[in-house]
Amino acid sequence: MRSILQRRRTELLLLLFAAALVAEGGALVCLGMGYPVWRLTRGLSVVGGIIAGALMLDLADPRRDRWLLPLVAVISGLGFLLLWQLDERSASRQIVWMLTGSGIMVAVYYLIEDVRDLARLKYTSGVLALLLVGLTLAFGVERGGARLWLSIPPPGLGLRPLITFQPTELVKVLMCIFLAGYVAERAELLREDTRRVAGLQMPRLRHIAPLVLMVVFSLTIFVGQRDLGAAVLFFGLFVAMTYLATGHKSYAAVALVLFVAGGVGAYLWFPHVRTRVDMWANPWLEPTEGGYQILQSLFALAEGGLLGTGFATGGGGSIPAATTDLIFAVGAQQLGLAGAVAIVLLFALAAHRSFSIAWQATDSFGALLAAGLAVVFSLQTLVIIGGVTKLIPLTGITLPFMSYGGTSVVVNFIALALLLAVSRDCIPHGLRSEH
Amino acid sequence: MDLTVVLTMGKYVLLAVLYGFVFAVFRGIIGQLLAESRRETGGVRVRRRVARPRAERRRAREVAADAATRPEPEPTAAEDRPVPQPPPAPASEEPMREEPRAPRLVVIESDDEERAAGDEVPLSAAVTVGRSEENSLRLRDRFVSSRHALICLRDGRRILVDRGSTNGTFVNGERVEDEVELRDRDRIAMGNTVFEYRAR
Amino acid sequence: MRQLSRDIKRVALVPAVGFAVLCLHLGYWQVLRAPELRADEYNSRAEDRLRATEPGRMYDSDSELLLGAEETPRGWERTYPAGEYVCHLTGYNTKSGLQRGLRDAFLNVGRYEKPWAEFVEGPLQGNDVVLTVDLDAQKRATRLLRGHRGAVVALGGHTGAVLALVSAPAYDPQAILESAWDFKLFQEDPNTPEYNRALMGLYPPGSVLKVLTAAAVLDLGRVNRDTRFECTGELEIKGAEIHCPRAHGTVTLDEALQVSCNTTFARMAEYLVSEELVDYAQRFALTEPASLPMPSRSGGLGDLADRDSEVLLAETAFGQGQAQVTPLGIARMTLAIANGGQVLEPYIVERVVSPTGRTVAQARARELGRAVSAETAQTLAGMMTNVVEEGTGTVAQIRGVTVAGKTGSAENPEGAPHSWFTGFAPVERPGVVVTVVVENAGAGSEAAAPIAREVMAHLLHRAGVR
Repeated sequence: MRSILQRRRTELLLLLFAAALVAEGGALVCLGMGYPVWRLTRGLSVVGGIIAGALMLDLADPRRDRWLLPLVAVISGLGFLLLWQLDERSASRQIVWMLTGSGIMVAVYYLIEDVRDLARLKYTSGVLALLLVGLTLAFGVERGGARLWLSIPPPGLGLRPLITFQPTELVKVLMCIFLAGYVAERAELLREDTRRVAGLQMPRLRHIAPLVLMVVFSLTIFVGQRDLGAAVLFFGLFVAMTYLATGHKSYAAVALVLFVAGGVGAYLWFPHVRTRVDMWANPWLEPTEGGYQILQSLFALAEGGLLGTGFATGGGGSIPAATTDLIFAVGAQQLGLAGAVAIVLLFALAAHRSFSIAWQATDSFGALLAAGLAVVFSLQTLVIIGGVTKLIPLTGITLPFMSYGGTSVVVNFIALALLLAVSRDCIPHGLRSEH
Repeated sequence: MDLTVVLTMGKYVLLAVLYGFVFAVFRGIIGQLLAESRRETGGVRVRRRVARPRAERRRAREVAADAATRPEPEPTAAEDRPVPQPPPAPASEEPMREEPRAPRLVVIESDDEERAAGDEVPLSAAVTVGRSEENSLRLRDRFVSSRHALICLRDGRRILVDRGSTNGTFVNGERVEDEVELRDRDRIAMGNTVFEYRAR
Repeated sequence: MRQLSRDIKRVALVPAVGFAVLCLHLGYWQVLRAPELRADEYNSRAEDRLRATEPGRMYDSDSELLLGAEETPRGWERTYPAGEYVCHLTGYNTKSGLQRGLRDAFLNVGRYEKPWAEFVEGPLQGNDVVLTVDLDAQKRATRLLRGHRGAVVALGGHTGAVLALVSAPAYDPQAILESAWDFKLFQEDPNTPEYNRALMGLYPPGSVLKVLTAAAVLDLGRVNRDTRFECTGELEIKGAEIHCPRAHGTVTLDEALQVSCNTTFARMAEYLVSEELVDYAQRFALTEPASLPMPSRSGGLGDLADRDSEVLLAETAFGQGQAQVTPLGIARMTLAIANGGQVLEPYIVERVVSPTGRTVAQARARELGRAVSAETAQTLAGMMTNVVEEGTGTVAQIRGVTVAGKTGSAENPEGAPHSWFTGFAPVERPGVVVTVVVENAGAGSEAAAPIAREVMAHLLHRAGVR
């Protein structure tokens, strides 16, 4: 036990650091909102769950990445503190989700004896992903204009729904497994068996056909489902994976052209896409309707200024979807530019760690899986924070570990478990950067 | 005290702690990145690399192959000029004085169930390291190549030669390109196994 | 594997750049654009801020309180001590009147905001605003307009400072805010009391526009004030008949303005092309909106700008046509004549005073350019003096002061003609310009001229001229 503690000293210290941070913030929230002080334990239980998770992971195999868990602890702790001020009931549920997520993370880490074995499940994952998307399309429940929710048992049977969840979230992880497995198996073929098309090195169509089909299928569905954020996410994932598979830079160029063409096409064909883009270009056109969300978000940012309006000052109430998509705006208002940049840095560091697990891995499946998860994580963060700050059109998507939402939290913990498993199974010890 | 003052001060404290955390993680990660890039460029910048003519190098390789086949190699046979071995250290019970002991590797970390941390491996004049059974030091570690490295004596210096391993051999975090001279308490990492070299 | 690892590093660069851009972009919104956004009219937090911070007061030029503020359990709220007399200036909430236009100043936000204010000056406090208007003139004009719909605009003769800006009917902001019933009545009143007619009302100018026609032909040198014309009481231009109340006989341009002879001014169409009249309207900024911190409309000469129609030009030349102008537009034109041909932009904020007593903004007269030559302006002033001395505007005479002016009665589809008067005094050194319009009140001399006279007399008295 002692040797584990010593080996994991840095991580444990950082986790305790995170706990202290959340305790301080929680005390402020209790003071400001007039909650009894004992409820501080709620905030601590979020970090506590992750610390307990970390210790349990160490019992299985302590050789894994040590930075991701503390980063996730601070991110989800901050997210909880913001949520707690906005809506106490959601906050209570979020604690349950966080603890469940930590538990599932440990379970996944234990269940996967060697992450490389997952490569065998690539087609299962692919089919499951398509099935989930199809089911959502057929039996999905509409909430807030997008048909993203699946409920079990399905509505219409007169039964109380036991679980409702957003399959899109899970599809992200399944797609990563499928793409990584497919690409790792055919790495040689994809890289070497190429032909020149219009001056660009392209792999033969029959090698990439299943990939393209899969992605085109899911993209059409997501755009049709009005889930633009997910569409962008999957497109980015596809582009990154094909580049990694072929190693040709020409891919980046082709992808960019495709992206622009797809964007223009979506703008022309889908009215809801057009509305989003127009509202992004000038939200003042319809300040109380279409542009309302983005304007409220910008006002919140401006209100925050350099150092913020302060924790627990009741700010952010007027922001729509404050607990989910726009939670970053609430944080930016309360903690100002200083806090907003710190939060972005936390996400950037977590993304960096995920990518570095990928590039240190000596197994191509592990490397590709970690890279895929890293791409999804960083793209998702960039798309939603970029949307909130009007850098790009705002699309409904959750901020990982920060937004309220059971599916999002649990799936992100699963992704985290996979990343940690890759760092455990695919990075030789000598290469592992530890000190 | 006014509540708003407390909340404002609390906000500044929170921001400070947040940045403290970001800085702590940042510093750690930057340290790792530097170590990583040093490892990658290590071949160019190995400081303690022993220069010697190519012919001699080839001979050393032959010797190493030779040594690998013999379980108990004679120290003098491996080298042209015999190097006096330090006398076997008497088992000293005195806690204050440490007697010099034979050169050895101390296991720091290992996947191999037969090698626990703290185990010692005495070093003869030439020891081959690898996953296959033909090695004088066998490591059951999936990240170690079958013929991974050679540790031998040359002109009184302890040299580590990487034998073209897949995942590399690292001395104090730097990847060994070709070979390096070992110093007391150097950390040697191969795959998931880490040793510390003790000259005394 | 090494190649894959290298490629992954390259992929990782993309989000890295993204995160960096994100941080910079956050700075853009949270620091660079923040003051502007905090003051944005759709930002409901501004409303909260108004309640949380003490808003600045608004005073008239004699430091009479026009718009106050008091602390209530719900936060800071506005008081309206000058009531209906300045209702269109104060508005009745933060979204109307100068409370909207000067919100940045009142709340110390937007361009008035100092990033360090929070640390240095303690709790946020708004700036006080001192207007150029005179509360007594406002009161007088409001009372004179009572029972009518109409507007009064009074400007300082050399500065363009707004001395009075009144629209009728008026309302008492405090009263309508206290009772929901009154508020409903106020909103549904067919006479639209909320509407600021001085800036937003578009009226046919009637004979007042003859001043513009005269300015154009004189300045272009086509005609001089002594050129003679024959008036038989009617004139036919391309099938359109133009009438005068009676045959004026042989008249000079000067006399034609005095008696407001329609046929003579219609005949000016022979000396002008449409473009030139439109050009002079633009030079006088007649159809431009005001650059006051309140919404205002731009006028126009109708199709004249697009269509070279001789009939329309003739009709416009004597003031009927399709022209639509705001009272402020006419006042600004009159001001330019009083000011020797130089157009001045009216302003209403004299200065903005910070909570510490420092003047943070000070108004200055702003010239928009020259409309006509000084000689033309002098000639026009002389002709307008004659209108008041012995023409249609004799009602506007003030004892001991030479007044120049022009009446107008604008025919309109709603009923009786709108009554217009615009003028200035004293002619020798113009101190005040007054423009009055009274809706459906008949000839200019009947309703508008007496009101203008009263307001002018008061303002001159106040300035020590009389």
